[in-house]
Amino acid sequence: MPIGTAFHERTLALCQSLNYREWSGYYAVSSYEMHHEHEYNAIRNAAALIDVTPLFKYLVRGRDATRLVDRIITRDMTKVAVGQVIYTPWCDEHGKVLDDGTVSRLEENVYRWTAAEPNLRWFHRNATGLDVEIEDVSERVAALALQGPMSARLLRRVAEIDLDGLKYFRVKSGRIAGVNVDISRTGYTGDLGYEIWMPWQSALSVWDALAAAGPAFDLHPTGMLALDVARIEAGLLLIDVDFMSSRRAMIDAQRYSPFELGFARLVNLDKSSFVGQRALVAERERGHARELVGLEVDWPSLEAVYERAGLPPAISPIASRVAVPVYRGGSRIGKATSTTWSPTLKKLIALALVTRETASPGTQVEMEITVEAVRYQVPAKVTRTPFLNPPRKTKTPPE
Amino acid sequence: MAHRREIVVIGAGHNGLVTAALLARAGQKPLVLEARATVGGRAVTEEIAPGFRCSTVLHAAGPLLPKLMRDLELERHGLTWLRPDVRLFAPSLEGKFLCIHDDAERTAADLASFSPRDADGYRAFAATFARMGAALSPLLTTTPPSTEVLSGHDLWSLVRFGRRVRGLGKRDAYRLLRWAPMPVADLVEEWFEHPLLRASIAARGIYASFAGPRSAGTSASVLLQAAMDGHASAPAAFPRGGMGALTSALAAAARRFGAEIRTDARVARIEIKNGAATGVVLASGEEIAARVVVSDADPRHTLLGLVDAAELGPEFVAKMRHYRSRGTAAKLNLALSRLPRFSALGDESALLTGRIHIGRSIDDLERAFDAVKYGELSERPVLDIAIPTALDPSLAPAGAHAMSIHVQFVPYVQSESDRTAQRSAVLKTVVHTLAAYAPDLPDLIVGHQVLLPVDLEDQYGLSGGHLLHGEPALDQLFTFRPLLGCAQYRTPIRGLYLCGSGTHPGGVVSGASGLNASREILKDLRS
Amino acid sequence: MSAEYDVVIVGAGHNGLVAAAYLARAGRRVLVVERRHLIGGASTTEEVYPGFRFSVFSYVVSLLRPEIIRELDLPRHGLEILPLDGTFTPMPNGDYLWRVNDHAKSRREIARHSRLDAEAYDEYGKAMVEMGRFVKPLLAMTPPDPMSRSLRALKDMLALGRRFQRLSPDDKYNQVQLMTMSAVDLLDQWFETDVLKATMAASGVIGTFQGVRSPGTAYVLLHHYMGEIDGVFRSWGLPRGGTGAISDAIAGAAREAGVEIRTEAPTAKILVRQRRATGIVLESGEEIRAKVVASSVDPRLTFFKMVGREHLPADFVDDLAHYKFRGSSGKVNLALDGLPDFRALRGAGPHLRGAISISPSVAYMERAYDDAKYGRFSRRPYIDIVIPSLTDPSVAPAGKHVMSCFVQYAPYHLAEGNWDEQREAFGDTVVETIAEHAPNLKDIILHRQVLTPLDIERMTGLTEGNIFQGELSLEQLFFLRPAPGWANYRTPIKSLYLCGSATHPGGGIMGAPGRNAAMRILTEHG
Repeated sequence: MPIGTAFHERTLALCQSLNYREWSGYYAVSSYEMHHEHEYNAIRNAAALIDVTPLFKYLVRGRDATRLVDRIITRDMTKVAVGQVIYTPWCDEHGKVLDDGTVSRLEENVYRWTAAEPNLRWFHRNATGLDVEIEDVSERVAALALQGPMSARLLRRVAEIDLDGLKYFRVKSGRIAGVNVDISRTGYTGDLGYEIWMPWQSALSVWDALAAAGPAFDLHPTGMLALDVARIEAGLLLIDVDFMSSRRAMIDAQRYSPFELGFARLVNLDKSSFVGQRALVAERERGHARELVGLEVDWPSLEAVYERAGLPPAISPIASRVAVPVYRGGSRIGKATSTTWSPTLKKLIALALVTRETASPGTQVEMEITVEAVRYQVPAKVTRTPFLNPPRKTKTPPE
Repeated sequence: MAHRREIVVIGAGHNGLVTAALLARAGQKPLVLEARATVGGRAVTEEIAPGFRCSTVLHAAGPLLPKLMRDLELERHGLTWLRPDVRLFAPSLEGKFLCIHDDAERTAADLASFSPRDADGYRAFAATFARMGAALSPLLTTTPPSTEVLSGHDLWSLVRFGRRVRGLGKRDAYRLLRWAPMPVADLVEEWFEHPLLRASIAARGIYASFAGPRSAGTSASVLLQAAMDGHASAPAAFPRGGMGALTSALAAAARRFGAEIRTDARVARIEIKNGAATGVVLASGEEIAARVVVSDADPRHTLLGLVDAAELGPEFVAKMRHYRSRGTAAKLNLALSRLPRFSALGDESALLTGRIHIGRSIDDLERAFDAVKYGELSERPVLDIAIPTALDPSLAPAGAHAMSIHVQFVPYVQSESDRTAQRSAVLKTVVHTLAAYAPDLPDLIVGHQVLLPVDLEDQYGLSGGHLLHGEPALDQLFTFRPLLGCAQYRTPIRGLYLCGSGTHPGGVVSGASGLNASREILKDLRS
Repeated sequence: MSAEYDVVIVGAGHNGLVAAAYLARAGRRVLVVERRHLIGGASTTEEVYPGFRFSVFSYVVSLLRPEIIRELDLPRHGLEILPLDGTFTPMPNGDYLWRVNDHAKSRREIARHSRLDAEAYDEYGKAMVEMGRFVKPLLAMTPPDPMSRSLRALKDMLALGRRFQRLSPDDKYNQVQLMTMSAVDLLDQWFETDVLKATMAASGVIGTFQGVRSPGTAYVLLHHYMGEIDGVFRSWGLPRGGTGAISDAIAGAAREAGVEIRTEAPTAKILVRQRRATGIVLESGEEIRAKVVASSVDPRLTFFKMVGREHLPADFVDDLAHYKFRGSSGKVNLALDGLPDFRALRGAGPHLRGAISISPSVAYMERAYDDAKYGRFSRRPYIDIVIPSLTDPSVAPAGKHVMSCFVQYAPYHLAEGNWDEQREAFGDTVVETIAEHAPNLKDIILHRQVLTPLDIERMTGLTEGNIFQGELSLEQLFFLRPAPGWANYRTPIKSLYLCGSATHPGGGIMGAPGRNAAMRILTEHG
């Protein structure tokens, strides 16, 4: 049985659909209204407020804090400045991805680390011989994502912080409603947006302040369904959907290297020893076998398939997390793991894992579509991700 | 200024010296670095009181492999063995005693007064263990096979071993399979009825282990002992001049073959580049580059203390941390004004030349173990005693004696106040226990030395104070010693080898670990 | 000379019945003879007190092989398994540990004790499932004889070796540890919470004369982790109508296939002529001829009582004499007027519907064992409690309850006195121990049945009251069970087979020995 987050009192009152799901042991609203359309629009056109408290959060501090982080992640932590945030995967000793998340360097020797899965044990295992303290603050820190083109304007209204100086993937301290918070310019939507980190017990004050200022900016509390569409447009991966943690994998096919997931630019093989380094060096020499790509389904062909069934095209507005096979020339070359109709791009798009030979942009493949329990192969084109990347995401100062 | 060496051996314990000597004999020029002022590790002779010298840590060899005596010409380097007539003398509180001699027939004849059934039983038992020991003995000098890549050589030694076991005949072969994982209490109960005989034989199964006779797997230690020289009981193999004389001879041999040995040279860390050992750094800051680093230190100290954890990876480090090496045995060394008088013997003293076993019954041994499970000192500890001066008077002033007592069980404590309290408790408890057999003993003590597990750790570098470099439990023996996947004397770091008792066959002073390690190192150097 | 039956099976315990059902389904004429007035052996349901029906001995089910349930179609014969959700461990300091099948809830509960342990728990579970997958096929195989020179045995041994070699290095490491370590040493590598380790380790010592720190108990941990219900590893269940219902379902399948079952027909002797079994003689003197005799009772009864040493090779007699039974457990069945109210978690909540484990710490468990080593029952024993009437109201009058308390340690051989004198003192200790956690217990007891290992032996015939027909210690497992060279269900007497828990893969309501033995008999007496 899940339990509520720090915002449960507010989100419960707002959730008209009673449509919930479980996220790491917490209730997470799937959509506040019966349909998530308005929530999606808030992400792309106004401001969306998303409760992301169920993320696992760790505080790492001590003389060897940097060494510990650097030992675990694939990126070079020694090059990250105080006030900077990085997105990074981390691997097991076989160079397979265990998890991904963000690491914020709050002070010289203090880091806040977010993860999709529990990692305390893993961090501890890597801390042998290091002078470092690792604290699981998941239940002490609440988090809100404020995303969308209006998010900066709204935040200027309520937060005491120099927002203009806050660049993409940077974090600063500030105050909202008298509560000390950290605000990072990060998010899971690929749009302009912020994440606000606050003490659990003061979380409602922060929510209320944002909600009070919200109407002027068309702020919508937003659930997971809208977020899922947005993150696919942004080409952001979801654990357990697009890949699996090697910790829970049972067979090799379920273990993914960072190269396969398109994280090559997040792997620094030349930095000092880190977990999985040897295996990753070997893989770089050998070359990886699969690669995560974007797919754009050919709409006329899709329409034709529906036409053959005597139906008008009907694509669910909800992103699909059911993996479907992808073919080329009749043989299976991979699977599409997340598929969604992009309301902004007006395209059916998917994230797919395909063989490396078929991973170059422009490659024509076929993706399986089921209409009335009949399977069809519909042409699709390999594309780069993100599908959607508005300039406002990184523009400083923000609009 | 960095020196460059082909091979560096960390630790001049008996296995480190054997490895160095054998490598030197094969034409290498190893440098042995010993942290202490003297070579020897656990096999040393040190002064415990003015004029009293004693084998302070281990007091007998396991025995040493005869091959090493020969190949390293140890006799030429001054090693002579004192081989008393009696292996083990075990007094009872009622003033009786039993003895185990090298000769089974003689032992059986003695036992007849205790129990005629056991006299017969012992004959059969000794013969069985002699047969099994002979079949098992090649294992001591075999490198355990890897479970990942079975080489042709591995397969061949397995097949050969399989044939030897089959050669025992079905009956013994089945027994071997059945006994290996069995509690030693069950083993002795299958053979004997007299509690003291049962306890005397079973004691070997729990020697220096965190185990009682009812713990599964303790028979394996007895079988391993039998593999050494065909006897289920440990030999009374004393070098003249104490155990230090053995390692001095080994050091002399190593030097003569071309090894260099430096004492007072504590290695602080092992340098690693790109997954390969590149040398060592001493506590003094001195750097010594080397292509091959061999460690005679225990696996825990070597891999967790001297190597950066990032080089080994978290999974391996976690496994190594789970390697059990918390010592629960202490040493009490006594300086005595004269030989104590055991009530069971009267003025007869010839039987005190071997090992002396104190522990009346299986239950006694088990209760001694019970205490340490809860972090307490045994009320009535199990003792394994040697009085080397009984055959080698040169070690003590005229007429006086040194008594070396291995005490089980003593929990590992760390704080200064706990140590102080425990030292006096060990002295008091052991002397009290012994006084029941030799009432005059308390009055003869003119000096004493207590080595708690934590002292063995601090002074002799034994992680956790474990005398055997790690528990000889089923999951830490043979292919699993110290860990599955690193039982071939190699480690995850290229060029870093283990040669100490934390590798197969480990345990007592036989030199087999050193012999096997040197063979594997030479194999790699040649390929 | 014509035989009346193809196979006669001694003992109508669950294994005897399973073997009978398989043999009859293969067309054999099968008779099962049972000493007691009811079938089931150690899985019986008896109305000990009017209106109160107890699973007198074994009390939960999990290990029953799914292929047996499927092949014998046991649900059609009345088998219904109700969920037993979770384990509740009260602690003397007023806290508790309560694991349930709800993952998020269990996780939070363990995290309340240790966050690291909450994470480790999932990883441990995964490792155990992997190990279970490795071991599962071994349950259904006849252990190869390592000393045999036959090609078949050699091939089997090699296949086993290869299977092991194909495991990942980490799985090999885990497997070796499981086979050799003590439950506590193993759990120490994963967890830091004492009460969690104690409760998990407890399942490693159930039915054995070993402590949680005894090497070899980690294997039994797996043994209890391999339970499978509906394809899900590690779920425990309560058979509706008690464990007797399992026996009844198997007997139903057996009878349908043509098996004849006679109760109150104690076997006196197994007839042996020229080293071949030719039938049995009942205590009544009646002789029953059969081509094959299969015994589901333990080897000591089978060979020393029913066959006679004179028919057996000396080595075999010697090995059997060394085969250890060492019953270590007792059972206290309570008829209650209400429900126990635990100090640590008040009221009649769902925590009473699962197992209630009196295993507050590793030291507690170990001290309980220490008592037994020296021939005393534990002054403060480990107790595994279930209250089946909460899940299956048919077993008690309305508003009343039955409470089953499995108690360890209770050594068969007492250093002082005998069990007939100590029975009630033992019962008092059990009630006292539970009452320390649930003080109202004493006031709600209507009836109390105390079963010492001696009683278990007397009632079920299990030698020394060992519930597994012999210790599950390393030297008595796989190709060494029950004796080296005779782990293939055969015996030195031709046409005499063993099909009980004393054969591989051992005890628990598993049925595998019965099925494996039946397969063996069918191959050799085609």
